[in-house]
Amino acid sequence: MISFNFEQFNDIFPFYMLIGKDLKITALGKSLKKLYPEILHQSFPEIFQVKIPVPAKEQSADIFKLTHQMVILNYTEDPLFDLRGQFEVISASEQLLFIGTPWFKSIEELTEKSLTIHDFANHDPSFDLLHSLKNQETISQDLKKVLETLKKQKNELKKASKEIEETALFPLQNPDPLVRIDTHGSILLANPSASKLISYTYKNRHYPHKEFWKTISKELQLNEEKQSFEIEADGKVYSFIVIPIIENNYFNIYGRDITPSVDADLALKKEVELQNILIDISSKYINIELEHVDQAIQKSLEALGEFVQADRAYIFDYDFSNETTSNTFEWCRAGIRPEIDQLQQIPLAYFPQWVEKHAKGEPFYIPDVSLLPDEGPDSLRGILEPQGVKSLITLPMIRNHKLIGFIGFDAVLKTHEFEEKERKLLFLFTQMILNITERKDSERHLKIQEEKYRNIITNMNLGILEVDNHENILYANKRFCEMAGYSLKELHGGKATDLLLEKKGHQLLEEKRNLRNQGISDNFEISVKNKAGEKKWWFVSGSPNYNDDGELIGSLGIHLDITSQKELEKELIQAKEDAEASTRAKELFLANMSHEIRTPMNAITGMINQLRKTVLDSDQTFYLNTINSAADNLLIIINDILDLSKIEAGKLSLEEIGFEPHHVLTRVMQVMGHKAEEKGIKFTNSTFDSQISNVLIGDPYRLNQILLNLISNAIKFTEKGNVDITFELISEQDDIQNIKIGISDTGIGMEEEFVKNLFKKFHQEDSSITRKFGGTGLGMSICKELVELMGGKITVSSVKNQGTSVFVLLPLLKGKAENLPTTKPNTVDTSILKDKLILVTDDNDMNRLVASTILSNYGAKILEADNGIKAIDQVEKFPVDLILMDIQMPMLDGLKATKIIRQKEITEIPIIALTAFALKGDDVKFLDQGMNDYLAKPFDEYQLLETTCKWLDNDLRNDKDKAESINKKLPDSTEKLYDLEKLKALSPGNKLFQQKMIDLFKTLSSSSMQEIKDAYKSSNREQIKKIAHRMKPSISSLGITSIQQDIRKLEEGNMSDENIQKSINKIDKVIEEVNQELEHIQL
Amino acid sequence: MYGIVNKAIEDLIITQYGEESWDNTKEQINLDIDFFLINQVYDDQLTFQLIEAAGNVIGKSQNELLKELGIWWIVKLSKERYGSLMTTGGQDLREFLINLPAFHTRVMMIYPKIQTPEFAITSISRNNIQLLYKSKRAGLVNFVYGMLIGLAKLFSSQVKINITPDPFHPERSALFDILWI
Repeated sequence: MISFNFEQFNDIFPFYMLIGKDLKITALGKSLKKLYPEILHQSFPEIFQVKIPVPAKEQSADIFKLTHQMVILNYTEDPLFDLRGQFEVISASEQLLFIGTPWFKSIEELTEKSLTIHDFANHDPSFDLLHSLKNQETISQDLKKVLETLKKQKNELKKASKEIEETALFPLQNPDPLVRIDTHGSILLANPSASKLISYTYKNRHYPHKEFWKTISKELQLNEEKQSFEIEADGKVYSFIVIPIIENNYFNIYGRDITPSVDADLALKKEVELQNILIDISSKYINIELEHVDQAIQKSLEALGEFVQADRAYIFDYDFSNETTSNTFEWCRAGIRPEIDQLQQIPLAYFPQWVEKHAKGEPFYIPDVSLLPDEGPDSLRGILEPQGVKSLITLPMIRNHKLIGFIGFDAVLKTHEFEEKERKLLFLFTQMILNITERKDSERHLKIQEEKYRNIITNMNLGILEVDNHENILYANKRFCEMAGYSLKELHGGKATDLLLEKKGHQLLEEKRNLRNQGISDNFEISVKNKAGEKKWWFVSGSPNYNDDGELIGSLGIHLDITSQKELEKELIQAKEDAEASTRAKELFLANMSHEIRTPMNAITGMINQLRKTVLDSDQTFYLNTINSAADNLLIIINDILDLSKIEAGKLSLEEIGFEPHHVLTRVMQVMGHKAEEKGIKFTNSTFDSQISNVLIGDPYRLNQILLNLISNAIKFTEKGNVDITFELISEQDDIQNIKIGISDTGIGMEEEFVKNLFKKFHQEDSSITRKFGGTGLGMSICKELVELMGGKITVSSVKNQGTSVFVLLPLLKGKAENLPTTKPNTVDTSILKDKLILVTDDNDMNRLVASTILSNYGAKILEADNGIKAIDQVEKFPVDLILMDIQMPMLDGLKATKIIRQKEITEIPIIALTAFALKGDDVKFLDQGMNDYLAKPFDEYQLLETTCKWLDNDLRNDKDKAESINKKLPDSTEKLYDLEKLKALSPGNKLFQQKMIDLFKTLSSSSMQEIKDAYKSSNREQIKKIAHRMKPSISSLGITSIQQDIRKLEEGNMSDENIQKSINKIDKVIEEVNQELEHIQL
Repeated sequence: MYGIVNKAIEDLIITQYGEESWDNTKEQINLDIDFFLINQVYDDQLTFQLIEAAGNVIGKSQNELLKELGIWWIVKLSKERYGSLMTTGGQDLREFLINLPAFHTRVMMIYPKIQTPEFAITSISRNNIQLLYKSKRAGLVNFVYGMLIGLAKLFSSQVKINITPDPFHPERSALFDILWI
């Protein structure tokens, strides 16, 4: 009796099932429980169906009777799940025990049910059976793949076998004989073409098939690379190539039917013979002398007659005007009667068929005259037979579509069939005869022409001279003799150079002779003296002259007397020079005039600035402003004139530096903004293309000048409305941007006619414009010249009373930030001037006064000199620290004076040139003369101070990097932070009022700024507008121009949030700076 | 060795390195077998020759290639051909490794001519299983190493595997220390 505990039993039978008497399932094995825990305590018959043994129909099995046999149970809830095992009755407890294991069909089912090998008893092989099954499945898959591979290989083999078969068929299908024999001559392989051969002829002996190969094998060598032989077999000629295959001890023999080529060889031979005859005949006609032509034709007729086996050969001419034909040449074989005398002016009507054929360009051929119909004595047969003609061929001679005659050949002794080749030969011969007769005609024609031209040359208006290589005259025509004044007799044999030329002409002729030697023809003008000693100008067309062998034998010249044209030309040149001199004088006058005006202008503007620093009452301020504005205007006019004269003299050179286009725009907006504002018109920038490069390369100063000019015009001619400036990028190629700048106004506009003349100098629409608007009329002309110098274009469109648009199109190089010039700080240490002794040299008293006044204001001591001699004298007498030296002075000019000073070894004193004629590049000139720097007149205070201080500062000169110690900030030379002129004009001399206004501004501007910032934060645009409106007058009266536009825009209230923020920040910053400055102001 | 190993080498080389590499490998050892039958036993020598030649062709050491083959065996071959069989070995890496000796014994039953190595679990803890590998064949330690890496990939387990070769038979036996991280 074996007994297990429950644990052991569960391990051995993890799928057991215990069923009670009431048929309820009372216990389950661990693995079955893992699978279906729900079946515990359920009624067995309700959830399991006995599949085997198959129960009797419609009866449920009595499971207690199912012991001692194999049972397969099916779980009704999972029809795919079967259990295979057996029932045992446990008598003691009246229970039924099922012991078994699941019956899976594939190992995949285990995965589905999450069973692992651990769930099966170790003795249970069902897992291994499934594994084995899976393995078989995999093997079957592999076998399937093997079969596929095999099938593929089988198909490939089939294909290969077919290919091999086809390849093998290839030699078999060869129409040429292929044979393989061993060293004894036994045939190993023979293709059908080879097998068909029956009898062979080799070296004039005949062999049957097999015997031949045995014979030939004795001649063949296995160790010789390639052998060959030829045979005749069955009426054909074969060439065989033998390739010995040493390793197999046999020969592969490849035959080729060469019968056609042998036949062709024979034909070729005949052809060559024919060609030789042709060559022979044709060579006779090449370069033949005309007088020998008839003889040659006679001989050719004979040669041809012999070749075609004719008995008579002849040539006839057709005369269609008389409707006759005549025999011109005849050859007859010995014993044949000549007929030429009888055959003259024979009516064409005798042989109409003949003529008809020839007219069509066809030969007339009768192979056998006796076969012609017998139609009486006037028929063709009737004419030919009495001459003994048996066969005949005649070929037409046609030149330029015109039938001129024929060539014929008669067979008299026997009939002769003219073969195709013979007919071709005769045709060619006809062509040759035609050719030679044509040549004969054309040479005759040429002779006539030559005579004609000789007459022309002799009598024409051009002088012709032919000389040999030594200039000896060989020929001169009548006209040349007339031109030279010598007779042909006097000229002949003499040297043309000696007779006609002066020394200079000899050289020229020598040069020309060298050219002729190199085979070069050319035209030239030369001055000659005729026999009478008169000077003449000839135009000569000379060319080298060669003989027939191509050797240079001299030269030919065609001469035309151009003496009168020459005189006219001279007069014209003189007239042109006079005109140019006059223009130059005008330009010089303009340039000098402007210089002469600039010099005193320097004094005027300098003095105005000095005067402005003094206390003035309102009238004085008004007068001064008027003077200032007049001086400014005058200066603009002078600058215009000077610019124009520079441009015309080609002396205006442009800068090539980096600049920021937006900066240029901002500047002109600032400068012109208040002008527009003064006139009450809007000045806007509607477009600035963001694609425009931040930095461009060009001349920003001249661009600025152009824009200021165009905008001031626009503002000048606009009474209401607006002026708008646009910057657009039109196109871009590589490094270049094409930028279009537009300035449009709503002004008075122009008539179409005037727009055409707009760019002409000194041009204004009518004189009333000058009276009303002023200006020189040079502005647009200068703009155009400058734009064109920059490689650009300027265009204008205008409608009278509606407005004008000016467009400037400029191609500009793109630049980078590093191309921008480094800006110098606008600060000068003027303290250095204190107690320095400065010599101011200028012949103009006023100019001296300006410079002296400015410099002495900063503590400098001044010496003056009004010419170079005095300046040298002063330098020698006093310890001068620095010299300002005018260039143009009487007695001794600045350059010479400097040279003398430097020669005296006074090198340490800086000398600064003053000049009104400073052009770009002049600095080099001054520096070369020993000067240190230069100032262009009119200079402003800042420039004068900056330059003098720079050269007085020894330390700075020695150590440029040294930081400046005490900087006194000077007013910005270009833009002031503020300007109290307006305020002062409001209350001339009333400093108390002015101070009060300034204090008020300081207080109110700060509080207003705070208000405007708050309004922005709360997005209260209306409030911003109101505050801006309130601030505008005080900013204007303090002349804070840099923010006037921003304030106006804030007041208008059309800006984006971002731009409002920007404007507020800018205004805030500027007002803060102004307030700081105002702290220290002394009125 | 059963053809399945040679077949695995072929599949690996063709799939990963191209048909030409496999042709070159065959050429190197003058192999004239077009198809490996998976349940046919081939000479062990052939398998080692294949490994050596393929390593030369693709420029890898034998050990590297064996390791790659081990990974390939599990991740591609076993998964694709015997996917369900693999999962009956266990629901996760740990269970699989524990069942491995029994699993392996059952495999032995299926392949009667197999010269099977022995696997034994020498230590089990929560984070670590030590597996002892012993074989009559030399030179396949890295193949087993690759298979263990492949198993970790198959069950998506993050493990670190340390190999301690048997000091007496380093070519035939090794202790694999599998550490869960």
